[in-house]
This record gives sequence, structure tokens and C-alpha cells, in this order.
Amino acid sequence: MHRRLAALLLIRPGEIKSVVYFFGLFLLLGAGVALGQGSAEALFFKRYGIQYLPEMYVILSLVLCMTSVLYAAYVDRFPAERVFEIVFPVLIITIAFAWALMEFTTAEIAYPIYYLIYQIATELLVVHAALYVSQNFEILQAKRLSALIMAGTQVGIILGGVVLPVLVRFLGVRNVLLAWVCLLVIALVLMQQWHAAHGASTLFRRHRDSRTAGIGHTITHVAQGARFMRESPLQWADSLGLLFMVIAYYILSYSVNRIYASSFAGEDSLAAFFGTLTAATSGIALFVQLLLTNRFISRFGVRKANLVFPVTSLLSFGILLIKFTFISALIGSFNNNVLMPAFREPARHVIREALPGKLKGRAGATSLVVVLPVALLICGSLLWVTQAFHDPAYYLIAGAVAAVLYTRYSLRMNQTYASEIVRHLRRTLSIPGGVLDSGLRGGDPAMLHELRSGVLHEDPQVSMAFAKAFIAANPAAATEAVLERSARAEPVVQDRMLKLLAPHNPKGLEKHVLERIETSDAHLRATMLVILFRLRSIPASALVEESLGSDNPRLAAAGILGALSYPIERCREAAFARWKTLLDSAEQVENLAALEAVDELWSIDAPEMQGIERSARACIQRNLVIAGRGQMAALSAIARWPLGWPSTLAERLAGVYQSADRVVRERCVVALKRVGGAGKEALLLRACEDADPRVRKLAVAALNDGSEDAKRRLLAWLVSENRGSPRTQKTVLASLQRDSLNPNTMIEIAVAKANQAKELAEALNALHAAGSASTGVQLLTRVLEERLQQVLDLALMAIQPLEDPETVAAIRMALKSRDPRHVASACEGFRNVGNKRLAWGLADLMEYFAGGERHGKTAGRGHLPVPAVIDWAMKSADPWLSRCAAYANGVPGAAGAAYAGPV
Amino acid sequence: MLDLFERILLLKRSVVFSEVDTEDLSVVAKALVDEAYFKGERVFEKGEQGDHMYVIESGKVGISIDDNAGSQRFITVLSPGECFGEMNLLDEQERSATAHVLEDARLLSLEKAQLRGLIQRYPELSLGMLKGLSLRLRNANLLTRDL
Repeated sequence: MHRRLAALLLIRPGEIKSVVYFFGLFLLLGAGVALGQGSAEALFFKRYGIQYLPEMYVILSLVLCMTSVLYAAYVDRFPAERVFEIVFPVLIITIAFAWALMEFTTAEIAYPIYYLIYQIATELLVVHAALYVSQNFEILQAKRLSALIMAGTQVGIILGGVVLPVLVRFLGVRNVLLAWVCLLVIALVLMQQWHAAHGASTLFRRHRDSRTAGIGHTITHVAQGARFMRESPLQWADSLGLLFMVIAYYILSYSVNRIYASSFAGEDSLAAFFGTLTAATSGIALFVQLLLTNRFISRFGVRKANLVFPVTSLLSFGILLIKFTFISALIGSFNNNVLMPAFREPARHVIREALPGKLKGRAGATSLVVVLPVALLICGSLLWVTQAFHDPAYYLIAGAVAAVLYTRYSLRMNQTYASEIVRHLRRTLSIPGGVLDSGLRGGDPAMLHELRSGVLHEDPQVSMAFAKAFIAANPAAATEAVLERSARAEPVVQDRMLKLLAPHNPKGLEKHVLERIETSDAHLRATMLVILFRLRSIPASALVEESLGSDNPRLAAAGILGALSYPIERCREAAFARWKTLLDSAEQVENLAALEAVDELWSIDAPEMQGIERSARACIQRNLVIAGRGQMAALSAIARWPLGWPSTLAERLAGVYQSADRVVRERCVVALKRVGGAGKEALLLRACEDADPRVRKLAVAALNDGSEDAKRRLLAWLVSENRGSPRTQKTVLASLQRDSLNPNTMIEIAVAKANQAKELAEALNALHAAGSASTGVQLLTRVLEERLQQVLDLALMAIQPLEDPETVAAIRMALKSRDPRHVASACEGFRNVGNKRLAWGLADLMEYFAGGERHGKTAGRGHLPVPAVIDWAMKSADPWLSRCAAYANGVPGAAGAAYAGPV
Repeated sequence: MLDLFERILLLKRSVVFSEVDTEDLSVVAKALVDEAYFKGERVFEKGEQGDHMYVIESGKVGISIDDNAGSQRFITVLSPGECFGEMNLLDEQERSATAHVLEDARLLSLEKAQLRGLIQRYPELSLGMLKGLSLRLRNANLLTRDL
């Protein structure tokens, strides 16, 4: 029963206590507000006069401004509950003071004072209650639960409204103030008890400068909030929307109160009416909040919910303009008392969650200190001027204009909402994909300076790491720093740095090498000679003969390269002879030198090459089976040298591929291009499932030769066959995207992945619903959870080129982070991408992944038994999922069965 | 003795390995060596130069930082799924504590060089190790505060 009720109210396990507490606290606050509202308005209208209401709005604006400055001075310093511990006692004392003034003096000033207390109390409690919720519930929770929690206020208001006529009858309107004081005392005690047991608000983050905060700092914060308004289109639209909303709200409130004040003779009857009206409208509001609001938001989105109140406010003014009667007043009250809490507050609360947490408090302070008072000042002034005409049409038209502007800025809020979420994600998450590279290629001076400093670092490992990154991104800019560092480095570091620079042939490299070659050791000298001979350096040609005659095999190999690549005819015969000797040698070091020299020489068309090829084939086969540098050199030589290998070589390569060394596996895959037959295909498919992404990339590249057939085949892997693990599919997709897929194909892939993600979510639903499970099913559940995230990422990757790539990259990173706050923001941001239908479907699944429940409602497979899910997973073309499912199914030997990947 | 999948599930539940995907954990699980210890034995002693980290498969292990290796004053008692001994694989210092077997235990051990290779291959492991060290630091802070 409890679980059903919790499910109906979208409460997840573990949230029930919190929801009950917040609901109860807001109930007490709501009841107090209802008592305060009925008594304050009835006493003010009947004892002081409704014609002074515009002046009260003006005074209220000033008092609210001062109170808000004080409030904002404390709001960022403490958790929300600590601020309540200050606000509650202040309210208790001031209400008691107002009651004493009314009871023991004849001063009429007591009524406007109490009216002001009520208004300020309401504003502070509403604003701070929202902050309190946001410090205790993250965005997805807030989206599900805020309507329900805020309904606590509505229940309180209903109870307060029902009790008010009874209290008025037995105690009189004035003593209602004491009842409000009692409710505030109970709320204070309840809140303290809760936090004593559960600690401070979990999402509260104290700012570093909070200890020095004060009025001065508050003004600074308000100014920062104002500056942030200019920077953030969402905050700007929200603030202007709030300004016009307050004007429209108070003009509508004034209009209906004029009708009510003239319809009831005494303060008791008016207070009793207000109580009944409050109870009735709040009852309806509660009904709407509980059963409609969150479903409305889930179905139509928060942005449509955000438009409900502005539009109905405009309609209310229209009705009052047509007929200024009691019925019209009731419609106006319905708008302000039902639709505002039911739609405007939950929608605005969710939308404001898109703002960065650090600035939310400041932006809120600016709204309170500046926007609200200014709105009230404008409203009071407008009413003061227009009521002098003794025709309601004047102030109603002013209200209608405010409602139109409110609608306009609500639309603007909706437009900026998703982009603000993505902006926030981009700031928070580091987005991969060439941010560093683009900064370097664009010559960002700060970044270049950083990298130069890194290259010049004394630690050779640090220096090499920076040199690699710098040369890869901008070789021209890197050359000077790398050569400078190389000049004072150990020979081994010099060797590596020169090898990194050489393929780019940067200006100054030849001169640098020539200046140092005579003083270098044999190993470095060989590297330098190879660099110079490849550059066809004229001064270096004199060194060819000497190198060729060297006893050192690396120097001799460099000499072979020089003699045959310049070419130098008088050395030709000696070069071939030396090359053959090195290849035929039983010394691996000589074989290595000979194999590494083949880089540019295999294409030489000369009769001597026949003998060289025979020797090379034997040398390669000899070295292929010995793990280490010889094996590496043999694999590279196979890849470079078209020696006409038989298909049986694929089987030998399959054996070598077992290596734990990633580079060996990479070279195996590259070497396969010189081999044919079924063995090649089998090994490539296996390499597609390799644990290392670089090996997978090479394997997929080997399968995608750019032909239409190859593309069709790989596309089928992704769409119709759903073949391989998600990470293999990711490599396949990246390979296809490099060849510029057409947009329809990308959507086709994304839809296929979305459908697959839906199946995974449904399967997960079934396993979660089954409760306790065997080890196999537990493992299968974990695998399905991982697969869901990976398949969602694939779907996002498929549509990334179609949308703003950085936006989708931010969303993918958020999903990968597994941080519920980022995932929640990503879901909201994603709903705004171009392909709405696809985006909404995927966002639902992303929410499910993040721990939401929306997908659960539609999950058909949720009713399937666990064996059916296991059976489905076993038939999957994803090898790991299938194997885990087999294990969950108790297939004998599944745990020990040979598994092709990952290696 | 756990089979491969049970090992994967055990690793997935541990702080150090929780961020690594199950598919990659199959590689890690294969690299682990099964070891059995009896109650009263010490897996290692303070001051030793260790080269293995351990994941508890079954049994309990108490960690003592007393200089006297025989001391039974434990700063923490570890249960199945928890790891120990990884600190000195990273800082290359001597063992900072003694690990006492409190109940007959089966441990999965991982050699230093293999761990380093795995960290390079699966960077998520470093996140898990940082998480584990951070939790340990918090516990140490609590202990210091209580003293």
C-alpha cells in the first residue's frame, strides 16, 4: 500500500522521510500564512481602508528592500535551516508586538504594521522555502517532488482557511495573530529536531568568502547578481518576468479585494470569507498540484507549464475588464491562488535549477532586493494614479499590459532555459575533442607559452610528455623549444625528440643535427644519419660511405639507406651486400637494423632485390616468434613490405596477437593488410573487440576500406545486426563519420541505438523488479547498466554532427560523469536539440539511467520474468553481454569459456 | 574459490575497482592470484617492502599500525570486497601497517608491476584508488579527532 502510494506520488525508496518532513513543515507555514492573510487583509481593509492599499505597496517596496538586504546578507552564509532559525523568532516577536498594539492601544497604525509584517513574512517564507528545497533535493528529485512538497503549503493554507472562520467566531480577528505565533513556534521546533537528527542540508555549499559576509558584501552580491543577469539570458528573462508578474499579480489582487471589501460589511464576515475563499482555492490548488502539475510537466515539459500562469493572468484581466463583478473577482482569485502555486512556482523552480549553484543565491538576492521592491513601487504608483479616476478599467488595463509583458519574458525564459543548462555543463565539465588542439593550432599565446615551459622542463619525462603534445598539435611552433631542450638532454632523450620532430621536417632541424652529429654516440649518430639521409641532406651525403663500412649494424643500416636513397652508384653493390648480410645474420641486433632500414627501400626496383626479399622473408619469420623488439620490427616489416605472404601467416599473426602488449597487437592488425583469407577476417573481427581503443580503431579502419560495400557492411553492424559491443560500435561509428555520413543515416543509427537503449532499460526494469538475485543475475544487471549508458552515448554520438557538436559533447560528458546533477542537467539540455522526437525519447532514457522513473511507466518488459530477459541477452550479438547472460543462465563452463575479447 | 564472474562482481563492489567496466574487469580478474591464509597469520608486516595489493574474497583482515607486529590493536577490520596493501605500491615506501588474518581468508593478490600496467590501461582504476585513499584519510582524521 505504502509502495503503491509512493509510486503514485513519484517518491522513490529512501525519500519518504524527507518528503514527509518537508510536507509537514510547509503545512505549518502554509496554515500560518492563511491565518495571517485573512486577518491582515480584513483588519486593514475594514479598520484602515482599502484606498490606502497602493500607498502600502509603495511602503512595502521600501521595507521589503531593507528586509531583503538583511536576508541576502545571511542567505549564503548558512544552510537554509539556520536562516529559518533567525527568521522564525523575528516573525514571532513582531507578530506578538502587533497583537499587543491592537489589544492594548487604540493606535490605528497597528493595522498597516501588521499588514506589512504579513506581506514581508509571506515573501520571505516563499523565497526561502524554495531555497531550502533546492539545498536538499537535486534537479531530478526537485522535478519529481517539488510539486508534492509545495502541496504541503497548500494543505496548510486549506486547514488555515477552514479554521480561520472558527477562530474569528470564538476569538475575534485580532487574536488570530496569536494562533499564527503558535504555528511558527511549532515549525521552529520541528525543523530543529529534523536537522539535529539528519544534519545540515546536503546540497548546501558554503562560499569561501562567507565568513566575512555582511551588508556591504550583500550589496556586492546584489551587484554581482545584477551583473550575472546581464551575462545570463535566463536570469535576465527570469528577473524581468518576475517584475511584470509581481505588477500583474498585485494589480489583480487589488482589483478583486476592492470587490470583496465592498461586498462585506464587517471585518469578521470579511475575514471569514477570506478564510473560506482561501480554503476553497487552496483545495483546488492542492488537487491540481498533486494530480496534474507533475504529470503536466512530465508530459508537456516545464516550458509549457511555465506559460500557464502568465496566460491565465492575462485572461483574468480580460474577464474583469468585461465584467467587474463578484464572480469575476472569484475568477481572479482562482488565478492568483490556484494557478500560481500549481504551475508558476514548480515550473520556475525547475527552470532556475539550470542556473549555476554559486550564482543562484546572488541572483535570488538581486530579485528580492531589487526586482520585487521595484515591481511593488511601480505597482503602487500605478494604482495610486489610476484609482483617482474612480474607474477600474484604468488599473485593469495597466495590469493587462503587465501580464502581456510577463508572458513575453516567460517565453524568453523558455527559449534560454536549455542553452543555459548546456552553458553550465560546458563550464563544469572538461569537454574532450580538440579544445587543447584548437587552441594550439590557432596559436593561443598563453597555451603555447605553457607548452614551451613544459618542453623546457628539467625532468626529461615531463619534457618528453610536453614535447609529444606540442609537436602533435603544432610542430612549427614546437620546433624551437624542442631543439633547445634536446641540445642539453641525455642522448636517449635527444634521440626520442629528434625522432618526434623528423617526420615534420621543420626548419632548422637539418642544421641542428649537422652541428651535433660528430659529437654524438653511435646510437644517436645512427638516428641523426637516418634523419639527414631521409632529408637528402647534401652535406650529409659525404657520410654515407663511412656509415656503410661501420661495424655497428645501426650505422651500417643508415649507410644502406643513404647509398640507395640518394642514390650513390659507387656504393650500390656494397649496400645490397651489407643489407643481405644483416638480414641473414644470426644476431638479432643485426636483423633489427636491417628490418628497420626497409622503410623507404622496399619499393626499389632492382634485380638485387630478389635476393634481399628471400633473406627478408626468412628474417621476418625467424623474428616473428620471439617476443620483443625483433617481433615488433618483423611485424612492421610485414606491414610495409609486399612480400606476397601466404594466407597461413594470418594464423601465425593470431598467435602473436595474444600478446598483452598493445603495440604488438596494433602492429598485428596493421600487418594483416598484407594477408588474405578467412583467418584475416576472423582476426580483424576479434581485434574489433580489443580492450584497447587504438587497436579497435585500426581493426575497424582495416575493415572500412572506403568502398560502398564496406560502409554498407559496417552500417548494418550498427543498425540491423546490432553486432559487437557498444565500444566496438563506437569505433565503427567514428570510422563511418570520418567519411561524412549523410544526416538521414545518422538519424537512422541514433534511432536504432535509442531502440536498443529502450530494450536494455526494459530488461533492467525486469531484473530490478525481481528483487534478490543470483550472482549471475547480479552481474547481468551490472552489465546491462553499463550497456545502457554506452548505448545512450552511441546514440548521442550518432547525432552529434547534426546538432551543435559542443552541446552534445557536454551532454555526453555529463552522462559519462555519472553525477546525478550533471546527468539531470544533461537531460534537460538535451530536450532542446533539433530533432525533438528523438531527443525526448533519449532524454527519457537518460533520466531512467540517472535513477528517474519515467521510463519505468512505459516499460513493457518490466513484466517479463527474469529467464526471458536472460534468454534475450544470451541471443544478443554483443559478445560480453551474451556471455554474462549465459553465466546467469547457468550454462556450464560459461565462466571459464574462451572469450575472444577483450584481450 | 571464486570463478571469473564472481571475481568480477567482487571487484565491482570494491572501492578501487568500482569505476572500471565489467568487461575490462575480466582482464583485471584474470591477473589476480588466489591465496589462502589461516586465522592468526599475517599477510605482511609493518616495515616490509611490499609488492602486492590484496582484495579480500572471504574472511576478515585486521589492520594494525603498532610497531609491534604482534599487536592486536586494529585501526580497522576489513571484510570481503575490501582492498588493502595498495598504498606502498604507489609511494614505494615500506608497509605502514601489519595485516592480521582474523578469520580464515582467501585473498586475491595483484603484483605491483601488473597494477601499474592496469592503471595505464584503465585510468578509472586511479580514480578508484584515489577514492579508497580519500576514505582512508577521512577515517584517519576521525581517529585523530577521537584521540
